[in-house]
Amino acid sequence: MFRSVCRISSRIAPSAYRTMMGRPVIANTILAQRFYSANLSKDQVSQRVIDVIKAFDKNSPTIANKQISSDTQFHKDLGLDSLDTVELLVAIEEEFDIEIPDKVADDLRSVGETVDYIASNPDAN
Amino acid sequence: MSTRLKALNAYRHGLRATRVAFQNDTEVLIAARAKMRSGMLCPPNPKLNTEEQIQHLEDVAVFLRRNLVQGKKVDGTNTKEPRYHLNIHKDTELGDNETVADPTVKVKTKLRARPFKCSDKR
Repeated sequence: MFRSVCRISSRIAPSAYRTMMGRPVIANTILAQRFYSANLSKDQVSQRVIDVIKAFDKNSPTIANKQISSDTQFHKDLGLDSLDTVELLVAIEEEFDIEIPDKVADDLRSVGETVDYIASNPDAN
Repeated sequence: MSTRLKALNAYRHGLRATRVAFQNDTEVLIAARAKMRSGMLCPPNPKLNTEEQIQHLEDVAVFLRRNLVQGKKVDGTNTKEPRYHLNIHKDTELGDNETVADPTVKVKTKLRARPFKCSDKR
């Protein structure tokens, strides 16, 4: 019981941060997902990953206009350098409240691979 | 592991640590991350070799997690004796403070918490 309380309180903060950053967050939906489903569907994961990528435009404002599919590669298609890719993956970690192990993160090069990993991670929410 | 991967992993650990240290303080969080990135591109201490640079960033990440605590002013009206709520989290290093916590031992000290923001002029 306490564990669930901790998890909720730790999630409220990042969502406040996101709202400040100008990305609307429907807190109720996220909380509802947390209570009623342990695993997220691939479509949900994919949509949220794409939202994070679109919001991640500090170096290349063109990303927001690009078509992003599961085949999209961070470096080749989005023009992200290695530092950008690390930053993007950390932003995605924060979105799903997980830590991607270094060994896995090193090999994630495309949107599809990232979505697959998150969908397979039972802690993602 | 190649040096390149080590450096990128150190950067990842650093970025995660900024989240732990500067939770809810968006301004400082963004500033810290910008600084970390500029440090990746242009190392602050060029005398060190690459391995030492990477170790330095790893150490910074550990320091941010363990040794930095956010304070938030609780009562803004009391300017004479401002009080701060300290956000001590699970990674914060808590030393053995038994003698300090012992109410029978009275220690006179002039030391006071000296809160400041990065934007304060000193």
